[in-house]
Amino acid sequence: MNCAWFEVFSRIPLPGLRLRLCRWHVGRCVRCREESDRSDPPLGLLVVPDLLPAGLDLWPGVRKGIDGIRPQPGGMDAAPSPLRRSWRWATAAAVLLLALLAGFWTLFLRRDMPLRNGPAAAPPEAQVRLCSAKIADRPARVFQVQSRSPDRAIFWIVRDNSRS
Amino acid sequence: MSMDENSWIERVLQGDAAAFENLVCRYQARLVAFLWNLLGSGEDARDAAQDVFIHAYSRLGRFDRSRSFRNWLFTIAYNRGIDLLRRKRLFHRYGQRQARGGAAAVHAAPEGIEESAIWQPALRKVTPQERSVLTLKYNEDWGTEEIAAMLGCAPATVRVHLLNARRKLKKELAASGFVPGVKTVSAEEIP
Repeated sequence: MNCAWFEVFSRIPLPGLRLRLCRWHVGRCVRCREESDRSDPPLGLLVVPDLLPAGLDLWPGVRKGIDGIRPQPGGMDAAPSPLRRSWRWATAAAVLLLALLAGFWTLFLRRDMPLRNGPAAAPPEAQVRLCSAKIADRPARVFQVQSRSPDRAIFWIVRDNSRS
Repeated sequence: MSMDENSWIERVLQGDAAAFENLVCRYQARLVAFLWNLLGSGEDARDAAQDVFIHAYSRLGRFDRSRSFRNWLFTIAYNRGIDLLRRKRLFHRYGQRQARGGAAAVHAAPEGIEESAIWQPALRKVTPQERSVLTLKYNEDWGTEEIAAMLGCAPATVRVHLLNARRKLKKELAASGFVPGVKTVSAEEIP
C-alpha cells in the first residue's frame, strides 16, 4: 500500500508538477522506496517470455531483412536514448523560436527603428492642413491622415448631417 | 556481456551473418514479450522485434562492447515501441478527424491495443513508460538504476512509475473483480 503523501501527490492534475512532487517524495520516503523495490509481480498481468510457445522464430524474417546489409563500422552506440532525443527536440524548438523572433524583428520592429549610422532623419516638412470644406454648399467634416511619407497627406471629407 | 555474445558479435562483424541467429534465438522471446507488454498487440510486437533485430544488426559495428548487449537491444526496442505508439496515436487521431468530417472512418483501437485474452485490459490504464518499467522490473529482473539508464531518467522517476503502475492496476483490478492467476499462452495465439 502506498503512503498517504504519495496518494495525495499522485492526484495532482498538472502532470509536470505531479511527477516532480512524486519524485521528490519517493527520494525521501523509506516506505515508498521499499514498496517500489518489492519484487512480487503485479498479479500475473504481464506477458511473460517463458510462456511464449517454442514455435516463435524470428530468424527467417530477420535473415531476409539483413540480406545485403553490412554492419556499419565505427562510432558508438547507435540507440539514441530518450534523454538525448528530448535534447534534440529542445534544440529544434529553440532554433525555431529564434528564427521566429528574428523574423518578427525583421518584419515589424526593424522598420520602426531609426537608422543609426545613416544620414540624420529629415525634419518634418511644413504640413498641409485643411481647416474646412463644403459639400454642395454645406459645411462638411474633414478627417486628415498624415502618412509616414512627408509629401503625402490623405483627406477624407464627409457630409456633416448634424449641422442641418 | 557473456563470452558467447562477444564471440558471436565478433563473428558477425567479420561477415558471418549466420552468427547473428544465436543472438536472435537468445533474445527473441524476451523482446517479443517486452514489446507485447508495451504495444498491447502480439502481431505488432513480433513485427517490431524483427525490426529491432534488423536495426541492431545494421548498427552492430557502433555498439560499445564494454556495455551490455542486452541493455542496448532493449533500448532500441523501447525507442522503437514508443515511436510506433506515437505513430498509432497520430493515425487514430487522423481516423477520428476523418470520421467527424464525414469521410470513411479509419478503424484503429486507441494505441492499436488489441482485444486479446493474453494482454490484460487492465494494462490499458497504465502508461507505456509504466508498462515498460513493469516489464523490465518483473520479467527481466532489472534494477532501478539499469531501467533509469535505459529510459534516460532519474532512478526516482522509475520508482514513481512503478508505484503509479501498481496503484492503478490494483484499483482497476479491484473494480473489475479480476482473479489473479498465471496466464498460459497457446501456440495459436501467437500471430
